[in-house]
Amino acid sequence: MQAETISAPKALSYIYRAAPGSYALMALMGLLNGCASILTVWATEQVFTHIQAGYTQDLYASLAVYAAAFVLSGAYSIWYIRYHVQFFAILNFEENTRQKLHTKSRRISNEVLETPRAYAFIRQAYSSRQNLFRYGQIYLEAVLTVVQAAMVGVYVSTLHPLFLLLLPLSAVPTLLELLYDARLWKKGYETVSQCQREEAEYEKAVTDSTACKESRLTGANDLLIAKWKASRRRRNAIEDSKSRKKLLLKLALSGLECTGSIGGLAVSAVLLHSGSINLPAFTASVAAYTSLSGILWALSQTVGNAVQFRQMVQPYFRYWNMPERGGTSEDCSFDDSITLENVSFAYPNQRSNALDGVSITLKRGEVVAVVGENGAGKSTLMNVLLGLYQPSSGAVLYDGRDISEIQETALHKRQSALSQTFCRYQLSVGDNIAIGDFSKGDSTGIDDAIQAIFPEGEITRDTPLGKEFGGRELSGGQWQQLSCARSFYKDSDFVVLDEPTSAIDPLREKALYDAFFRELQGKTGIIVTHRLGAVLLADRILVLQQGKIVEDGTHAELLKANGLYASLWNTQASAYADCG
Amino acid sequence: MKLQWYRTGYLSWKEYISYLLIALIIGAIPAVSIRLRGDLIDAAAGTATGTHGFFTILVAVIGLALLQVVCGAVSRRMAERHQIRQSARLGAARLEKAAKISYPVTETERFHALWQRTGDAPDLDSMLFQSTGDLMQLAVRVGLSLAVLWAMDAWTAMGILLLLAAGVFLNRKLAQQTEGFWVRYRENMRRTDYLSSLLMQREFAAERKLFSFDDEITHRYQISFAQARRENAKLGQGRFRIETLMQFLFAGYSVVVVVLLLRPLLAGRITIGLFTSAFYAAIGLEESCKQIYAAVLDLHTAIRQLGNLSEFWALEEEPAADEENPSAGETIRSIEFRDVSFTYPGSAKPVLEHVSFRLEPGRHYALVGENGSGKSTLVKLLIGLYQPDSGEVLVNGRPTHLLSPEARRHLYAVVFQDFYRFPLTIRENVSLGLDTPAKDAALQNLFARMDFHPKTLDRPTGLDSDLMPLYETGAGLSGGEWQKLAVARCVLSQAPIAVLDEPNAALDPVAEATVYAAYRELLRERTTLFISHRLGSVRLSDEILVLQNGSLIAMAPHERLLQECPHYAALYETQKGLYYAS
Repeated sequence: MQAETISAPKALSYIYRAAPGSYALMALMGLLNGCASILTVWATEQVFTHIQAGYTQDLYASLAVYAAAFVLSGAYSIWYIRYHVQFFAILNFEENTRQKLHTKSRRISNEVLETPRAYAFIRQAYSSRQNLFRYGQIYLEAVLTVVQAAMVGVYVSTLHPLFLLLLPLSAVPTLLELLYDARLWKKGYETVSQCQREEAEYEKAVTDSTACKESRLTGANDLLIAKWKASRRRRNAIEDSKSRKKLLLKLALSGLECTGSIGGLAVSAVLLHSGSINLPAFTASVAAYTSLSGILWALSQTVGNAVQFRQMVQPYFRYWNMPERGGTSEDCSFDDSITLENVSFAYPNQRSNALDGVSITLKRGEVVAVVGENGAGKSTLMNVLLGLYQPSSGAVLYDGRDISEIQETALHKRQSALSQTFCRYQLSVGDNIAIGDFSKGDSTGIDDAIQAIFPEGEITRDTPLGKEFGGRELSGGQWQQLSCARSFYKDSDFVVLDEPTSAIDPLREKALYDAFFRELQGKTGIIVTHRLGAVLLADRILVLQQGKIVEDGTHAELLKANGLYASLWNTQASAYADCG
Repeated sequence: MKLQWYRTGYLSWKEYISYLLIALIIGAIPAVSIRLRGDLIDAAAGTATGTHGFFTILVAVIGLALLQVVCGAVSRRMAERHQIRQSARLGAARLEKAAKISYPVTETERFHALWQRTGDAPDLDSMLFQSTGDLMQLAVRVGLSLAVLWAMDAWTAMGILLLLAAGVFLNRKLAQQTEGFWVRYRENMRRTDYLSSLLMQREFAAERKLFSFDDEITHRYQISFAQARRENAKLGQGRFRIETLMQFLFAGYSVVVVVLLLRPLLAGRITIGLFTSAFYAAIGLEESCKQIYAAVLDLHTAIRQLGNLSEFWALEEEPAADEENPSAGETIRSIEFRDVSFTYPGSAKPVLEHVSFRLEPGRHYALVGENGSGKSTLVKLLIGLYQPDSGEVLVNGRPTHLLSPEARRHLYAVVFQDFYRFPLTIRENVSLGLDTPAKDAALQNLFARMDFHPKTLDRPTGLDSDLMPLYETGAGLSGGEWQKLAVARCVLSQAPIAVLDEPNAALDPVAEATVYAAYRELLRERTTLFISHRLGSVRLSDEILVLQNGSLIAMAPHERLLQECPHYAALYETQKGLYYAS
């Protein structure tokens, strides 16, 4: 995942290919802008020639050219940079690159996402896409400014050959500063961006709607703010030393820098004084120097940014190295059985196995309950059974076929699941159910499900949910019921329910379990739960302990065996025992 | 300026005045250069009228340029220094304010919107500092240059002034056009960004694959993107028109300047050198004016954006600590709900209606009811996060909504159903209810009692391992372990009232029994309120409160409730039936 940095040519060719039209237009506009500079210099010379010659009609013609050159340069900065790029080129590019990110996300294997680094990684990739267009622009601009500078340089050298020698000199201080800036930036980048990310986490912990009630009852806010400040201080120390060093360099180079700002005037004046050039040529060369120093300034901004942007686009490219799941076959069936053959699974970067040599077979039409202590590997087992996680060793077989050959879309087509970490979509209530299968078309059942969860009738299919967009907020139990409805809205043959009622009250829980077993008739089903009362209805019970299946049988068999299941059962049932 | 009030104490006036002084020098140099440059050109071209030699003037011109470069560097450093400090100070102040905002306000969309909108306020505030300096510098430059030109030829100066005024007018238009521009731009993109996150972020990955909602959500994303783009392009068009008009104005301006300056030149009132120098100055003024507009625009945007900050600052705060508030170690005499009703803002139906009860100190209570019966709201009222619409919630005779956060911390320890995973170390996380972080021995003892042994503790950093989700150690705890951590925090706190809202949802039966036994024992002396759907645990409480549709329908021990309260009996028998099927 942590691959080597992508080289600039590779990154650039990727970017240019993503929007060839935009960048071609940019090159064209840049050349046009160069022509505008030349035209300005030429027109200045003409104006002064005519002024020296006296007040003639030609003066107005040359002034008109001068004004035209002015308007032309406006076309570049106003029409192109500030309008076209900002509102069309960048947005087109953005749509394109985001789409690519989405497509890649679709293919990434799920277990890869289960590391804290992946959490940071996706966020970085997502925000770094914003820098891609600008990164491509920077290089193109750098080339274009060099071309422009050369055009202007060649033009003034026709006035006096000495200029060709002196012009590059004025670029020296800018160039030096640039290199120094880039070095300073690179040195502090890692720490600075890490601090920024930490500060964002602290800010989230202070303002998050879940955190707010807790932080108002504990000392959390003081602690978080203190940590935020410490991180900010660390970052500021780096920024401040950077700024101080830049000042020192600037002061040290001020003499040279002067040649940049005033050099053109001074050199031209000396040449005029020595009689090497005439007054119109003098004005033209000053104009050229002015335009050149503008160009150089732009170049310094550009190239200075290039180093930063190169670093900033890296996460986007690194994202493409995230392992994909693969699989090509498009048919998938589990009409007969689902089998795990000696399956082990370890999370990325973890030494111990979450699942350790698990072999089980689920027959079509069977409903199996899985119980076990916290951390026994139940949720991991579910993800492996569904094909969301790929086993580290061993195989998952559907009707005897290894599912790693099967494409994901085909694989999940007839599956449904309710995970412990179900999603709360900030969409309408209806969409929260329909998202289970948008292709279904037939939306009967949605209204009934909504009616069952929200009997007051205040909430309907179109009610928007989630605070972020001004929708309604639901309680934990209501969200969970909604996601239950989602899982059963999708037609399926294999259903996995992982702690489906953890936040639901007893009356509804009973009703839900009855509904589950009704819905599961004829399907293969797995229910993971800590509420052992619900387990009784299952055909078979699997007991997981530290990633291994330690017991497998019916309720009666397992009670008789007097093992882990029996102890779990007795603990929970005894709570209800003595008065029944 | 109306922004003064929050700036007070942040801005060093000495710093600000020296920054403005340097801006003054930078602004004055170009004006001073006009005549000097004219003399230089005359001396070079041999049209000189003065007495100074060419090289003397050249040295003076270069000296001025050097001064400008040095002043520019110093000024930039001052601006950066200020930016670095000020944005940290204001950023901290913003966060501190957010931490103090009264709880019901934090549940509103307005709070979250304002929080987001004030995100760049700290940087904008330092932009004010810079922009005023820029404005000062540019104003001096334009003013002095115009004065010098006026001395050469009044008509020219007047003409330039007129054109610049037209520019100012257009610029005002532009400012109106772009008011709140980027805010609207981002608002338009917000929905699109959310849809994009469904297609990309980890938390949606499993359902994304299982339900293959990619196609439909991508479709919606594209529609939303196209719509946002259209709206944003419309915003851009208005700005584009005015900027184009300004460009034409300035093109005309440069021609008019030459024509205006020709009069005194042809009349022999100025030399060709001065003419050339004045021409450069006039063209330079055009550039300065553009910069002035940009600075004004920045200032305008900054002030408007900072308006959000004023709004944020005005949000209602938590009650401050006062003598009325109970101090640490205060003994509880009574906890009482008197005819309490509560309705969420914007909702028609009350969540709680006429709820009255009294809790005795040192006893254990449980609260049961269906989803949506008002349990969590009752808890929030009890701990003073909400104020009742009518009736009173009193602890030792004091209304709880008047408690300061500090007083609440001393009074209550609460485990919420959706507890937050704070990016702090393990020790800090469990010590949140205490005045000082807990000692190793105390923690090891407690963790052993609760059977809490996360792998993260085996790291060299041990109890001080950071649980920041960004880092490797942050992933160390599972859902059940986090829940135990939250319970440990509650047990460790010395607060006399403990509230546990579904503290066992993610625990297996054995862990649940261990933890339940641990906190029953550890919380023995305290008043506890326990909310759970697991009635097997609930029935051991001294008394059970039963909520139904926002009304308290019964309050009695388990045995009596079974006989007297049919709703409770139904809840209990249903769950029991799962274990002891008839």
